[in-house]
Amino acid sequence: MNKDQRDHLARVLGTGKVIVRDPRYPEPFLLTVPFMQFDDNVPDNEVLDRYEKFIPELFTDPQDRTMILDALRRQRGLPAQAVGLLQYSPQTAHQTPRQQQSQSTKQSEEGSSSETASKIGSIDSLRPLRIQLSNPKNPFLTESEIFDAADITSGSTKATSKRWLIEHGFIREYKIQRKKSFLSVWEPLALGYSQLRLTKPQYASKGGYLHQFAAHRIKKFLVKQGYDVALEYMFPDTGKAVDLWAKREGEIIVGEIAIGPALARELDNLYKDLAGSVLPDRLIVATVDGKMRRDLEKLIELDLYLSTFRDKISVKLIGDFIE
Amino acid sequence: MALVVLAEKRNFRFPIRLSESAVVVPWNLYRDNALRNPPSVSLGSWCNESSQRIGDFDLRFASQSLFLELLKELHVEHGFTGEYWQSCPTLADLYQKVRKKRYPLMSHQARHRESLENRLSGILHHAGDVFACNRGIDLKKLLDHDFILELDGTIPEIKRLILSLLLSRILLYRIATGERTPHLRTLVIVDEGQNLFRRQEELSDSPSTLGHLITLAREFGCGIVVGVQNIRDVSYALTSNCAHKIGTGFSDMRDLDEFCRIIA
Repeated sequence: MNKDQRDHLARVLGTGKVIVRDPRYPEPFLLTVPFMQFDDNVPDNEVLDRYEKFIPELFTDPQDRTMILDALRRQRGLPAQAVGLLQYSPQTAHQTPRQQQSQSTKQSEEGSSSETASKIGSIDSLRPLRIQLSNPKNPFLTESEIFDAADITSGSTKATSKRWLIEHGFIREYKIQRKKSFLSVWEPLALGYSQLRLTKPQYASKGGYLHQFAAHRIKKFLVKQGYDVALEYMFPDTGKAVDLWAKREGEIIVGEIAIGPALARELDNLYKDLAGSVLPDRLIVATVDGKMRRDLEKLIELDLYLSTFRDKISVKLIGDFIE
Repeated sequence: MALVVLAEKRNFRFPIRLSESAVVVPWNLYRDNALRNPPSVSLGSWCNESSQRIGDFDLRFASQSLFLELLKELHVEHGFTGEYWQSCPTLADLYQKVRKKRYPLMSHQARHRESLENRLSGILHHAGDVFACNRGIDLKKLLDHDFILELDGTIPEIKRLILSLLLSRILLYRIATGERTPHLRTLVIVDEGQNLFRRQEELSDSPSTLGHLITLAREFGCGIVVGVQNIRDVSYALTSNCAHKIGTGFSDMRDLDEFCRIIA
């Protein structure tokens, strides 16, 4: 493969295209692959039913099944009620499992189920999540933005709704610092997508949800400032991919997002960012909180090589890019 | 054609909805007596294969030989000759045997015994239920179904052991029973194949025989599809045996270079 072909591949593969090499077809041609959507959300119960038919000797004792199901739930690390067995009901949607249990006990005691159910709050607890996922490819909103969009103003309703979503395994919460306070960020989990009958999309950036959140929000911020922004940009000469690359009238900004505690790795990334043939005008490192920012600044200051680029490198909070 | 999927996550359950014969098995419900030979495969060759698979746990060749020696002794003690209806000893029995074995403290054998004991103890500690069973899942039955094994929630070493044992079983069974055919009879799909076919291991003193088995099994109608994240870590045996290579989403130029090299 010559240099031109290799460069062409590098350009094509960065844009989500696929290269297939089949010895039977020496000349390139366009291949169309039909998109097929499969239902991945098969609950554990259904899996066990099928497996029981396959190997009945494993399920001789009825208690075995309960133990196996429990083990599967624990393995997944979600509350037992949230795993595959939960049936969504608008009447009880905003309640925690414990509330549902006490309600059903009350109902059986009082014998007036419909009356009790109608008294329960008026907000559909999945609504905030539905709003967050209204654009499934860009769910990168903060908690306050979601509640604003859902038009929920009451503090207690917000707290109950969030607790319900977390307890039922629909979302996971992260905190990021912004000035002296913290912002909440919700990661929609697989159960949340399936409950709303949505498919989890693929994002342009890499890493965990918080990393993707940061990348998309910083991109949004810089685009507003008039920059041309690319996520996961690969330098053609070094082959190093940076989290974010932005350009405006000859000014180049490179962004790295530091989420994990391994700060030495971030320093390595900075070394690589500065080793390319194109030296960025600004190198921004976005961190989750102030402590991490201070530690990273100290490490950069102590590093003989990086400290020479001190005027170019700035360590910021992810929250600084959220308006 | 039977489909065997070795899935890393729980995102391959949809065949249940598509086929009546599909079975999804979480790893902790999977049963495999590592010491029992697959149907039609001789006990001797399976003993060699299983010692290789246990040897993948960073065991030296000498410790593998000790494993083989003690395994053969155990089979004799239990009167197991490899017939399907006989009761076969398990890894737990072998562990007890290794523990009771005494060698002079300063001898090489004592060190090999200690290594073997540690490895077996680790395997039984993490996946005792899976391996300490007498019979395990019937391989013929497994190959009559579309079989999806989910491996999330266990440590990489155990994943690797479960995968490599199952893959060896299927390949050896197909080689032992098969006629040479160009038609595909079993398709094995391996997710995160870099865990199973490691280049680093291939370059070591005692490379795994899995790559060699794949070459052989291809003639007997057993195909394999391997998905990898990092092509630089994958063994040469796998890439050279792969007729079709599909590449997408390279995040590192070195990966792209390697891909260009193998498709060139």
